[in-house]
Amino acid sequence: MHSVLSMMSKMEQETIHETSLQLLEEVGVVIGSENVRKMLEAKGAKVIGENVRFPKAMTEEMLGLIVHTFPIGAYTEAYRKQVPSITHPFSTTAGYVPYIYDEDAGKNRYATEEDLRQLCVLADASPEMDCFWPLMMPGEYTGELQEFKATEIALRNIGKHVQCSSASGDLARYQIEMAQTVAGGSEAFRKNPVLSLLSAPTTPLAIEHGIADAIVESARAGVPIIPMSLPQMTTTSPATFAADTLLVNSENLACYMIAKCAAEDARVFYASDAGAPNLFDGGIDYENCEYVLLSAGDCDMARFYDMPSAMGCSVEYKDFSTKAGFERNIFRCAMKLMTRVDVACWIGTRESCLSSSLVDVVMDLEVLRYAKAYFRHFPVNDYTLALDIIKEKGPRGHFLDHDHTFANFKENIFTDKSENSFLFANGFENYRQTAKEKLDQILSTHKGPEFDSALVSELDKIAAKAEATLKEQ
Amino acid sequence: MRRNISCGRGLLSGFSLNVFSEEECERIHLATLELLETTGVFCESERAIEIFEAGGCRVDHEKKIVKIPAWLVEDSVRKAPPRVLMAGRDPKNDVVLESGRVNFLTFGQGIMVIDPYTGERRPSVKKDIADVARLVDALPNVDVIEDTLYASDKDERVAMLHNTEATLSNTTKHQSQGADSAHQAKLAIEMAAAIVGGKDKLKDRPIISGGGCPVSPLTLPEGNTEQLIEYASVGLPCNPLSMAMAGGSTPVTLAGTLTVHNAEILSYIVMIQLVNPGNPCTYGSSTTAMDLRRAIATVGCPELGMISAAVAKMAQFYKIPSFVAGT
Repeated sequence: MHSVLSMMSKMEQETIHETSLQLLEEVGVVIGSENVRKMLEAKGAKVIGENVRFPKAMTEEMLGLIVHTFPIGAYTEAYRKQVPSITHPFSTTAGYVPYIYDEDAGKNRYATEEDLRQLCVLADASPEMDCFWPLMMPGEYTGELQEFKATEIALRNIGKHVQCSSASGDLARYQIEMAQTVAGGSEAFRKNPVLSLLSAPTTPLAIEHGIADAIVESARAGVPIIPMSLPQMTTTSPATFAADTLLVNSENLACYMIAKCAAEDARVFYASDAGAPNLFDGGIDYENCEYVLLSAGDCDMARFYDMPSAMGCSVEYKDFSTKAGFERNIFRCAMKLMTRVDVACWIGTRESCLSSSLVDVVMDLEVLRYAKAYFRHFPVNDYTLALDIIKEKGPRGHFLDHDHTFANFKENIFTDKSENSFLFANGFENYRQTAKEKLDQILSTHKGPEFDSALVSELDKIAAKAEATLKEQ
Repeated sequence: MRRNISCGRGLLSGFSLNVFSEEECERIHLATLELLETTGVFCESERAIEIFEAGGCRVDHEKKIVKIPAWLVEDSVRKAPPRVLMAGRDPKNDVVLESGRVNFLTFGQGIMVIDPYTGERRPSVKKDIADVARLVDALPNVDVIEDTLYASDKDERVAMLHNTEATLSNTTKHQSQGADSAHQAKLAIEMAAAIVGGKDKLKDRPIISGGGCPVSPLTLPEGNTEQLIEYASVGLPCNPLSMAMAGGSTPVTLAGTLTVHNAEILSYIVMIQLVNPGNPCTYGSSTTAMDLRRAIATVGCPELGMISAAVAKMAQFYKIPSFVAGT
């Protein structure tokens, strides 16, 4: 017994699936990479210029190769996990934001390498954070080099699973080489993939040159692939939930096909960050209800295929100056994670992912600690039904003094009241300052993973090669 | 391009919070049947005991224990209609409870009120009840009014009737109410009948429904039980509602809590269907976890949300409309 927020009946899921097959066969996707188009054509796809159409039979056959469960590895053994998760949704920072909110200056500025390094230290130190996505990009660099440096800083400073985006085949090769080195070699990496790569299609129905190549590189190396589809209702998707879900599904299947044609054992997430824009200003609005509803439907589809899922689901508006404000965020977080996504990418964002801050990360992690009360699993079995005990106590009895109550109350009743959060130790009005104090304490005391000098030297060589060849814009 | 009508398609519009597999629902149901058949419920009302015994239950008159056989439970669940009309004085405010439709009502019953004009926290009085009814009448997203406040300025023996009078006079929406005795229920029913033009018309236009609570675990108190008999006898919707407390009046495990809750509600549904087969009723819950430090019910805890979701699923399992607590 555990809570799952779902959107679709089995028949509706079937309808989305069948319509996706039809869409991929009749309309297809634009794939910018000639190499990838050739590869797909050789496997049975129909290619007309940049347009690739997948016959239904080809897609259905490839769906038989879904890898239903795989590890998401980590340098530090204690942080290694398996998806799908059987305990609770794994949480990671979201990504990417261009700005960081400077607490001292009280305004946004571009993030730096040092900001990202500090974020890695915070993520490594926080037990609630399961995986890590470089939330902010090092502003000292641009283009592919910036993405590489973000990956490098994360892999060097955090012992947990790292997920990064990858926009080209060249970039992906360097990211993969670095991750394989951290893991102890290419074979060790396959057993313990410390890195997953996010390669997002361009909605609707396009997979750019570099993205397609990155998917191929990832598939061949055993890197878990996150094809995060982001159709926005009314702009890049029709204004209906069904159509938005259809596009998510079709784009996920298209990326999946690329991965599987490159390597039959490719590990692929089902991923989305679908939503609806703010129709007044055209901006993304993560606080609107469509994000939760679409995410619930997309997770239903992930379960339809029995694929692990990864979704964006930010909880942004934060005013913890009252207990109600804090509990509002606990419940919004719980609701978004009750979709039972396997990897939820949400921690640390502000202003619809325009900015982030380390203090916000601290606050979000505390929200998550409370929200996890909603994800507990309550088994239904002879012991928990407690029929013999109910009969023993009978009508007009009570259970307060029974051993069964003493043995089970801590698991079954959540007793940590929200007002007892450390955030309010100095009063509700000072929550942000209190969060900053905790952040400072972590940054001054926590030590991340330690690499031996040989590993450091190898990583330095890879970084030097990448810096010499990757493009800055 | 033409698309003809899809047939044989099961659809679900909107999302749902699922907490059970089918098998888990079954297990709770089977555990409940065993509990009702072997342990039974303690029934304070002699009148109800007679009804249960005449319907096929085994009764220990000395201990006032009623044991309900499984066949009778399942027969009663089948008889309870899947659709319940809660009528308003104005038909445009009629509410239909059926699978997949979500409705909202006020919660009660408070004994204190924050005065909206002075901000003072004081005992509630009859005028407050009238004001709440008028407010609910004006709010389009509130579908039904449940007894929200208590008339502390009236004698407790007739407070419920003053509540009914103040509410029915100030709203055209359906009132879900709870009497303390059969006598009070009869008078409340007469008041409602007077509004719609007679008891026969009340059956077609049920502008009130009767709610009653067992005392967990497994006890049917006299007043609450007999008032439900009165509402059922004239065909008005009945809303039995349990407020079990995990760790206190039920096992601390949620599965055990749901089993006791389920047994209590089903025992009332059996009684209602024995009084009037096919009588509309709901499957109600305010069940939650007990605050084990202070021995009080915690209405805003995560467990209440999960239990309410579980209760809604059990109600769907039985095809009976549900009535659950929010936070």
